[in-house]
Amino acid sequence: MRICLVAHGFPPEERTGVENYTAALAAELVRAGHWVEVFAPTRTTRFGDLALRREVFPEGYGLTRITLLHAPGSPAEALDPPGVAERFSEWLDRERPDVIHFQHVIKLGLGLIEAAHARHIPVVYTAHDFYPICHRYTLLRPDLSICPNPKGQDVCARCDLAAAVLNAEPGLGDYQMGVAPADLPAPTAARLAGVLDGDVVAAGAFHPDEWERARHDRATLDARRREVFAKVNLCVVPSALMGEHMATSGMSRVEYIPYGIPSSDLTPLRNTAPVGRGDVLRIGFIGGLSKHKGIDVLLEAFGLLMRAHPAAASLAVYGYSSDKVYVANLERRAREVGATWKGAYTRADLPQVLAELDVIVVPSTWYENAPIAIREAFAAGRPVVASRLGALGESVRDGVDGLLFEPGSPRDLQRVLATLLELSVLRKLAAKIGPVVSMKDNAERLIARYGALIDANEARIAITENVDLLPASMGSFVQAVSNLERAPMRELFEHVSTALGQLGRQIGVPAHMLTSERLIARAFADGDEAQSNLRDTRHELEWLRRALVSVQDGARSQAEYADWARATLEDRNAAIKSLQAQLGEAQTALETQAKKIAWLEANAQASKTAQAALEEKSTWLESNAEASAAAQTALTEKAEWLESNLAGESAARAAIEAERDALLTAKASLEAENAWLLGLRGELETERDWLRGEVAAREAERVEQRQVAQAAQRSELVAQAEELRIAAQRLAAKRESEVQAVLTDLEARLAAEHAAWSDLITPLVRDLLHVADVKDIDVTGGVSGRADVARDPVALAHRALERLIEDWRWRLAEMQAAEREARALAARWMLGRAFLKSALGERVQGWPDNESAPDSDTKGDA
Amino acid sequence: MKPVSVVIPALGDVALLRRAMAPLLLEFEMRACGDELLIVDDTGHGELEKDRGALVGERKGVQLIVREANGGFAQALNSGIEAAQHELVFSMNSDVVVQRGFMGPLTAALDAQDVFAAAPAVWLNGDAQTIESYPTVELNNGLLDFRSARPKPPAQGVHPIPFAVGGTMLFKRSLFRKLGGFDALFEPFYFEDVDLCWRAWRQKWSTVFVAESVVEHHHKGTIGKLLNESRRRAAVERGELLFNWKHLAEEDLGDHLAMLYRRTLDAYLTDRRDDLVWISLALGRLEETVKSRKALKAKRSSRDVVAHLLALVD
Repeated sequence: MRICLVAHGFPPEERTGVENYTAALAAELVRAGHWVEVFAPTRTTRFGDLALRREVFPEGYGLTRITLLHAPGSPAEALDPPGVAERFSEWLDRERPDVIHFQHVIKLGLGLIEAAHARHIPVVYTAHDFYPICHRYTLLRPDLSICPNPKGQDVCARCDLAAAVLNAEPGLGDYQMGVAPADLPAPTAARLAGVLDGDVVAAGAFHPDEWERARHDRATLDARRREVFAKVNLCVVPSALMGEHMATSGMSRVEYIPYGIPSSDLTPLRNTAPVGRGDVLRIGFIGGLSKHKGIDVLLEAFGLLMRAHPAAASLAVYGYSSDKVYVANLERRAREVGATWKGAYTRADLPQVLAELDVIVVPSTWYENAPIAIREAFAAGRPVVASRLGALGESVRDGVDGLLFEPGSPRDLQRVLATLLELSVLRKLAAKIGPVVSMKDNAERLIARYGALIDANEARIAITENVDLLPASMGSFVQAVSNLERAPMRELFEHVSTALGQLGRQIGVPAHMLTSERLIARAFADGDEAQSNLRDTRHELEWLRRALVSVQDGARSQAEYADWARATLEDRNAAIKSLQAQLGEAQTALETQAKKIAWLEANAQASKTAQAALEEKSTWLESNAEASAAAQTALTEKAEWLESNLAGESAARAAIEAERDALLTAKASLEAENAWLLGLRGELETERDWLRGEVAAREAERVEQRQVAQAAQRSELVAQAEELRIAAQRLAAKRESEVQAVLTDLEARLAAEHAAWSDLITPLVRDLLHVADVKDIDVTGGVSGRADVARDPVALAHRALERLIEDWRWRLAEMQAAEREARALAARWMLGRAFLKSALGERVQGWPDNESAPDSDTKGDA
Repeated sequence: MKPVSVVIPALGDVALLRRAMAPLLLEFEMRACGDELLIVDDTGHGELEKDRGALVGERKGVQLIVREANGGFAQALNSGIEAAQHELVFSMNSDVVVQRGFMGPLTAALDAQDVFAAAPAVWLNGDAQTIESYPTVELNNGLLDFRSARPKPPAQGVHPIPFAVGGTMLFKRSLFRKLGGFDALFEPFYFEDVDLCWRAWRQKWSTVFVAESVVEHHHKGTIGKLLNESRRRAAVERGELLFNWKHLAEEDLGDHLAMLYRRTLDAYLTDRRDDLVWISLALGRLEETVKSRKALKAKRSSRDVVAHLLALVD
């Protein structure tokens, strides 16, 4: 079986649980006889970004490291780091594993799962943490509190925004896991809490669009993660709790397989543990020194224990972390509480590490899955004290093989540790530790799952390629091709290179040509494609180097320009500041002046108003005085004018009165004439009315007389009309009877004539028909093909006569023609007779008769 | 006119077979000299039996031969050739459609004593401009390299060619038997026809192209239907290597082996998996190849045949 393991790190560079587990699994699979290749990232700068380098480990498996030099620039890049999936695809095309077991894809990206799926390679994924359902993979929020709702996209979006709050805070060290609020400045801690609670106001300077965008981005990224994980064929979980969570991840098949560990070097310690040293309880921590491991809780608890029971216990902290700031703080605190800081250790050191410890503490503050450290402690017979959180209760049986305490509580941990100061309690717990699952058992269970998946896949490929449906002769060929296509390139190369040697020997290549020197010389003397490619690559590399130098020169010049621009900008900023200061002063002076002007303007306005009022008053007074003087002058002028006119008026008055008198006389005369005219008019109107009455009376009389005359005339006419009507009726009746009699008589006569004609004509018609050869006419009036004709004997007779006449005419014409012919014949005969009588005729008569008789007969007939 | 036995190996597809038969039987009728048609059912389970009525019926001179097991193109042809009654045999693919009068010029070309086989002008998909039956051969860097078609084949006359395509080849059964028939080394398909004609050339019997004889090849046959391009290519490449290992002259083997090493290294360094697969496939038949090479009877080497052909073309 060709098995590929993928992990987000690998020893010796990375030495925490998953990485160590992957290395142990790879070695165990090789021991079981399988081909194993591991793919993992490295941050080493020895090679270029995305470079692939393979090495072979002493255990027999290969490790290909991909160099990742660039940190993701966004959450989307964290999910799919650019270029990694493509490089992994190339690697897969060379290695062609039968199955791929992903231990983790963080740092590498989801594209790796897709690449495997696209190549129809079965995919197994072990959920060492919550990555398939939590982009922070721990279910811890940026303030290191446990996520209240892993399925809430709004909650996840708040985590992204909270991370942005931490991004802006300097000096936090590796804060990606999160930062305890106590380690943050109060305003930042308040803002962080505001973001995580969804409190827009407390969250501070986020624009509403940023909230919406964070929700949208997170929904998109989560959808992609879910879509990719749905392509996993089998999800392995090492705890029931993880199984419950993974059931919601979109992966269709989730199976519990407990972790195994390589334990053969640890089990001998069971006989020695736990013994203590001089009645001192030796407490230890082993594992990764991440913030969610709760080492700070352990240090505080140990401090409390030491205060309560000085020198009764010791604490040694073993582990590794890339979070230098956090580790430095822990180390300082360890010194303060009297603990021993041991630092990093390798798997090979573990037996010695555990030999010096009586109890292991796992004080995790996250939903711990199934820590390898617990299994290692149990393998060495060391009881475990663990937080009562997550799946830790599945690994440690409280009061049986270990003890549990309230998570995050130094006081409760101190209480539990204090009970172990009585070493007999510890020994009882140690005695009940059960056997741990070995790496071998773990690997065997996984191998069985791999095998089932590969078988199912083979069947699927066979169906796709129709191998079973092909004719037998093709089937084996296709199968052979298919097998070779799925072999790793290295194996193919090795196989072909070896077999070519056999070919040379077996087909008879002369021995002197088969020497490697000769073959190499012949093979490569003329150059080859790889060599050309290398040369091309060298040229390209050189070109790239030159381009890089040019780009660097450009960048340098840009940087210089940027420096100059920055300096200029600073100068300008200073000048602007100075100008701004001057402007401020000027503005202040201006404002003062403006106020003064405003006051002066207000005063000037008041003065102007008062002046205007005075001027108005003065104008009014002046205008009043002028008006009085004018009025006085006018009155004087009027008085003078009245006096001058008075004499003229008196003379005019006398003339007018005389004229009035004359007019009054004329008026009286006119009134008398008018009265006379009115009397005349009355008389005329009376006469007119009488005449109108007379005219009306005469008219009425005339109308009456006309009506009487008309009535008499109408009566006379009516009487005459009646008489005429009666007379007409009588005449009509008489004529009708006469007509009827005539008609009756006519009908009788017609019938008699018809009968007589029928008797007379019928035989005649029959004869005529006979003569005319009209055989299809039923002259008796019966129905035949010409029944309409037969019903009218006259018509028949007429028709027969016409036909007879035609016949006679034809006969006449024939007879005339015959007569003409006879006459012509007679004429020829007469000529013949005359001819015969001549001497020539007599001689001709003596000639033999050559003419045929039939012709003569025919002519004769004619 | 000499009668001909036509052999068509078939893997089902009665409709295709009947389309191929119709013009062929018309040709028989026209020639009226006792031609026969042998359809070889190579499905391995007598699939064509149920269509015997439609294929054979009352037709005179048509036979259906049912093989008990599927053996591939060459073995099916061998079965048909064994049952054939005439000296001249025309092997034909079921996706070939003959043109009227194609047989006369072909049979005439075989009148010459030293001619083993003749190929008609094969119009690819009915296109007179694309003739796929006028191949060439070169010896380059220890490799006998065959090209299936030249750009401008002659429009008339009879011309020597390195091989005739098995799907449209008229040959003499007596010489076919003397040559030992198709070599099972190349099963299931491809290069068996090249090998047969090449063996003939090495025995100084030639193969010719007859421009006046025309058939159409519509490439709807079974191999193309069942296998994708990559699989078919693998068979071709493997066949070419096997052919070279069987026929290359001893003095060319060193170059050939060096070429293979170089090709192998190139393929590995440049991620060309296919090359390694093809070489590996051929190496899987190494034992059979060696036997076949040793069993060869030849009057001249492949190098001589190439030189001879080049001289004839010139």
